[in-house]
Amino acid sequence: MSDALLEARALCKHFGGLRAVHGVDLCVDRGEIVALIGPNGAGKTTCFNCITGADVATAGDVRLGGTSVVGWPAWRVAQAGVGRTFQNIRLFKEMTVLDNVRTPAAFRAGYGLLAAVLRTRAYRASEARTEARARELLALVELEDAAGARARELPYGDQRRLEVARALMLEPRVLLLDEPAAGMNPSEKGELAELVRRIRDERGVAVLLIEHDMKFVMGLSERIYVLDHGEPIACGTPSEVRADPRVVEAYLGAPAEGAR
Amino acid sequence: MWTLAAEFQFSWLWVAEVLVGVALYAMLAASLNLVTGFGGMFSLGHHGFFAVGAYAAGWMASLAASVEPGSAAGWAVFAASAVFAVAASAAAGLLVGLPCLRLRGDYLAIATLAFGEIVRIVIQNTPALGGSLELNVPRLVMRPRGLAEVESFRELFLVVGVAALAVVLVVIRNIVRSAHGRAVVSVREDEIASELLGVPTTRYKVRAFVLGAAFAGLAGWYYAHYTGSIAPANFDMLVGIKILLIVVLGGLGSLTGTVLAAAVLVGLERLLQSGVFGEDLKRWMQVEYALILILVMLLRPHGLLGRFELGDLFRRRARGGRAA
Ligand SMILES: Nc1ncnc2c1ncn2[C@@H]1O[C@H](COP(=O)(O)OP(=O)(O)O)[C@@H](O)[C@H]1O
Ligand SMILES: [Mg+2]
Repeated sequence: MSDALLEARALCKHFGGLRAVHGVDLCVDRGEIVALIGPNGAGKTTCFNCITGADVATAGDVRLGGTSVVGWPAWRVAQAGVGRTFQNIRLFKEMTVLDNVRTPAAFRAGYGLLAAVLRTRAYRASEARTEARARELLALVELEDAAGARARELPYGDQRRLEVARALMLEPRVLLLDEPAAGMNPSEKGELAELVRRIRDERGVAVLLIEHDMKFVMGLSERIYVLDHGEPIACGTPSEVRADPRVVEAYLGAPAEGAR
Repeated sequence: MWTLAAEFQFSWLWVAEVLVGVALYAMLAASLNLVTGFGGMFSLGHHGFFAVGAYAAGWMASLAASVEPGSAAGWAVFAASAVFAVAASAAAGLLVGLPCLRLRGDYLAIATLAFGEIVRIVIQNTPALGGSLELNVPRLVMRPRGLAEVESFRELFLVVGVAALAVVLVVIRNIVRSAHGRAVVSVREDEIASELLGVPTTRYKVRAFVLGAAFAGLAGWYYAHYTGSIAPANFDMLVGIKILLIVVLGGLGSLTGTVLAAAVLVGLERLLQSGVFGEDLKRWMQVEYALILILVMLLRPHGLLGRFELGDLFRRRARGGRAA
């Protein structure tokens, strides 16, 4: 058994006759930034869903620090150290920015309903700690000034970074980012890449990310997995993947894309 | 409740009774707001939990019929019946909530609707609870006989009602502002995202639902002891609609709005009942609740104070789907 931080082996997810994911092996080690790429509909998001427990895999194994998390409810996988963001932003829209970030800390609150009602010392201390950590994460994603705003009021790019801060509140061991740069302009993408590096370097969180922008992926990740029609077609360093003829055919085929 | 001659209509005696009704409905609506406004769970059977609490308290009091009202024993049974009423309706909440809150979608609305009716049918067929007739709830803390005593009885229950309401409001507010409350609200906002961010959503939904049921039971306790006699007809769908209407008018997720809406609606109802606006409106009152509720739902207002639209509830429910 390997002691990789996150490992998926022979992962399959079939929807009826559709093999959305078929025989995918994935591995993320501590301190790594790894990318998962592939054309639209290749099965990338479905991989994330199977890893995080949002979907139940048809077959295969997912291990976190050597422990199989297959069949675990999603909240338990999250609490065990897997944070994620969503391709279609899923913030708690009517809640404030601060409350969005504080929410995932509920399982570490350390006080019960009665303590909350009575506002005990334990409650107050825990709330103060949670708020301080949330504000620190908001500062990391440069949203500290928006703490009191409603999540739905934020511009698009800010909402994406808020999702990152919210996921980090879990104190995850690995962070799964589903197209975090989608809809961002080049300078925003540059800042995002910098943020991802800081999350890895300063907080020791490994990152697995899905992204379409090849320049973004190539510059950021140490290892890349390529999916096509649910099946793995290549894996390696950015330069290896770039040179792989099957990848060029399946994904980088379009000259405009390859030239960038 | 006592029928009063016309000259008492706008006296303190009358006002006290109206205020008791406001406290009662504010309690009921606040407890439903925890479930529907904060938790996003659409419950149509809140009057069922109200009934369970009322009958639990009434039944316990009927066992102590020989106790002298106002004696220490009377007060003790009065207090014990509150605990029993809350426990009984919380248990009923668990019974209804546990099986259907595991499922997404509208099972809860249907199950709670059925629950409200089942409670009534069970009571109607239980002789020990008075069947379809009245269950007499013996007086435990004061026996109002003369007019002066009726007045002090109402004053006493006004104090009890305001205190109980204050407890309900403070408990809900403090919970909502805690980590656990944020978890509950996050389930309303996006159940899938919530689960994927480490919130055991079923557990939190059940907790909020049971707590809401428990507070409805407390309101039932209060009602049973105030009226001194309860009947299945006091707990029909119309009561459920009225509670929901107050929540929607006051704003889903707004406790202040709930209290204001309860005051407005109950006050208006009593004014209509008094006949100052004529006999026609008096007769139409029951239809009006359903009409107002339908109008409110169609127009999707923000409520008196709430920012949350009822329509969002349905749109959010419709979204569900996969964790893309
Ligand atoms: N819940 C589902 N039911 C049926 N088909 C699905 C479901 N989720 C995803 N799919 C299909 O699986 C394939 C992979 O989807 P997805 O993982 O979202 O791709 P990607 O994220 O790589 O663009 C697509 O063909 C998609 O339509
Ligand atoms: Mg996708």
